[in-house]
Amino acid sequence: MSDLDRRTDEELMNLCVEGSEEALGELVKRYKPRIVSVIYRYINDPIRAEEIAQEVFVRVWVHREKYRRTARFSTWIFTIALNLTKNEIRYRVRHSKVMSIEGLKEIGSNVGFFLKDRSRGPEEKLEERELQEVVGNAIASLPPKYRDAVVLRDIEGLSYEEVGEILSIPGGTVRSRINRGRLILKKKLEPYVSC
Amino acid sequence: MNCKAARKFFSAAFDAELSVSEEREFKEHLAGCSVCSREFDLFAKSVNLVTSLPRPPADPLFEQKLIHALSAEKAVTRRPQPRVSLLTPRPAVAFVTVLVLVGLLVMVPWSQPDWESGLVTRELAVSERAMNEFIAAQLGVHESDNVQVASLATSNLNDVLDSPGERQPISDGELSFWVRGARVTSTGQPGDAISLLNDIANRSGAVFEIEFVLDPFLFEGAEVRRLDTRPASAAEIELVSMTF
Repeated sequence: MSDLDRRTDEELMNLCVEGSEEALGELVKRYKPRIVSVIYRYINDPIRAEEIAQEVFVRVWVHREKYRRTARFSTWIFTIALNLTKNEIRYRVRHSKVMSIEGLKEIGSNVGFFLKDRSRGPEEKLEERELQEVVGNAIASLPPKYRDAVVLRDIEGLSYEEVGEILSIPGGTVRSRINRGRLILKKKLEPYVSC
Repeated sequence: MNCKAARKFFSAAFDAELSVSEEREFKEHLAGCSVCSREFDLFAKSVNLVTSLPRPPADPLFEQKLIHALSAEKAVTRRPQPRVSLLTPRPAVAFVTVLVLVGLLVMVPWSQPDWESGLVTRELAVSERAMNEFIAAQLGVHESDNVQVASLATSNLNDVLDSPGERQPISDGELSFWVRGARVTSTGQPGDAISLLNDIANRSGAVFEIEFVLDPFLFEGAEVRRLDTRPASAAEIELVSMTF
């Protein structure tokens, strides 16, 4: 039985550098849901999010020798994911006249696809679906710099320090961007939380 | 603490990131301010809504597809990137470059480039000085002209340039953009490119908004891309890429 599941991310990455595909497999196991999730929150396209996540892991493998052992693996892989996602957004904007924020909001309706079945009644399910759709659209419509911070913090649960490392911004800026982004979200979501 | 200051603390309070003294002030304010107290309650509820969003379902074939993608990647032979040179330190070389450039300017018809396909129809390799002269000539302005200073969002880049540590040094890079149908490319340090962009912006009135992205693979470079450009009416300027 492998002891890979007890290794740290950085140790696994070192094994990847030595050519261990099993170590990559363990990293995929650990990070796939988080990477897919963060990408999905940007582009609201589940199939494309999976494809981009695959590209993220391909890049991790292809560029494994360029990984700096002093750097935290999580910040490295999220940086790759964010950059690839932004490339996707740029590509969409460039190649589609309608793929603006409005376009992103429009495809945000896919968010209902991800409903968990919690054995509730159809009406409750519908309400939950609608609410998740509203929340997804609200996130998608945030200005990019606030969306980056909020998605990393609130969707991925990263620390302020990790968010700062990934976005290359100082701690004070992280704090203000997260706060500002959340205040915008609060305003958009107020009708749904004030009752 | 007043209401405005209290609201700046909402996130930090929610995440328990306040210092002891900040937390005490914050709680005291909320205890005496029903409006902020209600706002913080709504704030917390909205954040909880966001954090409780479910993750997308896992694709059971993800690993299989990834193995396939990795195999395909191994089979790919990357085309070598052509390196367009050249900053020219010697005046004679610069002079020759300018002459070549002038010759090209005569030959190049000023048509709109093929934006959709992204094809580079004409590529000029020039020194920074020659490029400046080229741009100035095309825009019909001179260095002495008092033109409107356009904004150039370089703060992030400057932060990195000024920051010590592992991201230094920033390697040589490449700046490319279109001027009236010709693609102009220059190599050098980011500072050179920023100066050049400033020049272009100053002379043309064009506005460049630049996003700074660290190279996630090298941890030592930067990628600066155009977010938006407002071409001057007299000359179409399109920043193609700026990569370091």
